[in-house]
Amino acid sequence: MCRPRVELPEVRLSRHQRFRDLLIRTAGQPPIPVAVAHPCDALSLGAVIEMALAGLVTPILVGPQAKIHAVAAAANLDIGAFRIVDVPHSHAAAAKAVALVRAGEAELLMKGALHTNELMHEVVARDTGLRTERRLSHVYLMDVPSYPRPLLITDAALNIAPTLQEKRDIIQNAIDLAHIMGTETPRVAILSAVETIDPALRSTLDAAALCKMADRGQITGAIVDGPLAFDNAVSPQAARQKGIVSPVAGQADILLVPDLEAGNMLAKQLSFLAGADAAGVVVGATVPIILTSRADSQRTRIASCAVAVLMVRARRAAATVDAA
Amino acid sequence: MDFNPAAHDPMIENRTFDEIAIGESASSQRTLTQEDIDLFAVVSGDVNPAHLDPAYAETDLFHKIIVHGMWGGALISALFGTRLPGPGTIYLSQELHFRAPVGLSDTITTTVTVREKKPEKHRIVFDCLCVNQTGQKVITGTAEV
Repeated sequence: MCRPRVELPEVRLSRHQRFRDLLIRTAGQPPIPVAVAHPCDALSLGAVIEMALAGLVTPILVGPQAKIHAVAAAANLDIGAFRIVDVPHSHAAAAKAVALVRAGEAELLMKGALHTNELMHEVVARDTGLRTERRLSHVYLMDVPSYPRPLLITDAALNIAPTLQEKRDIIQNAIDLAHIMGTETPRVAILSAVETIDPALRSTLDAAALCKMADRGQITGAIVDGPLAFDNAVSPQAARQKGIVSPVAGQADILLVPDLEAGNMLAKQLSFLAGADAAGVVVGATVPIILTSRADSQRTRIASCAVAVLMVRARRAAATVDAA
Repeated sequence: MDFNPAAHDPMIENRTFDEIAIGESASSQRTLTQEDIDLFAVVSGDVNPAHLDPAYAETDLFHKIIVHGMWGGALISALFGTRLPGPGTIYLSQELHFRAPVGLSDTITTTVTVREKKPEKHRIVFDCLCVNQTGQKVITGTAEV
């Protein structure tokens, strides 16, 4: 009997190890006070409790006290240990949570059950908000099983159609985050549909300008290259076939997407079709802002919180060095 | 991911009872990876920390991660099913002695050798042996197919 060897299925092992590593790096240090704006549904309140139980944060719940207690009772959640700041409604909760951060009582801000816009409106308020000289941006931290390193995707949630100057800030925000996560010199791929400059595609022109900004020190702490098509950014083989010689091609740590729609679809495709974990954090404000979404697993919620906590610790450490 | 780099021959062929002679043997070589251990744990449900938890394994008898013993057993089974006697083989019994641990990056040479033929029921008894890259015997045993 002579038979063809049956072709075996390909097997891919997904360990979700990178997010666990993040959590391990946060272990054994005191929790960070977090102001939670309007945690008035079971999901957001449950998330806060998870993060507190993980030892990451000490929550301050900002919202209508009676409603928070009612939600906790209905969902059988124990919030007895947490401070509650009573305010009448979600708008007031956003304003008060931001005020607590400004007053130094909280070092982290977290979104509860309210619209992202409602919270961000208070964050960016000129005199009472948490703005810095930097543009605020959102970074997805993705653990993609088929990719050999963590992948930061930005901005897929906050900046709809960023200008060149805004893209500069978005890149720098992501670079700073990559440093905190332990990537010393991250490789930034500026994504477009092609790897050559085409005046009809604005993202390729922006990419060229951003690379020059990196050459001239307007973007620091990373190797920046673009435009790159997605395949050339993440696949060394695809980059080789195209003959692209670049220190970034095929091994990007950070992907800058042209606009929110492209980024949002990319991140969600990776989550829903490629089994990726996606944690998210808003950076560029005076403190990190944790936005978790309904679809997140416990693992990604905890990861979002862990990376925010690492940012706070890094900021504290930098402040100590400055003072000394 | 290719979990069996040794197996690149596109065809597999059996040898019939009459074609097989006493003393005949077949061998394979395989280097143990972390993926092998993880997959074996997934398939078998055996999550003994001796195989999966480096911190625990450090404190254990061998001071390092070792593979499930039956992984070596599976290498023997693969030879019966693909090489000698080859496709169509029915496995009847197997005796194994685990003589030394197998760790990551160990290259295991597995050999099965015909010891005895039983013509009345068309059965064959094999000596089974797995040695590591230093020539140390890690598994010995006998099988009937």
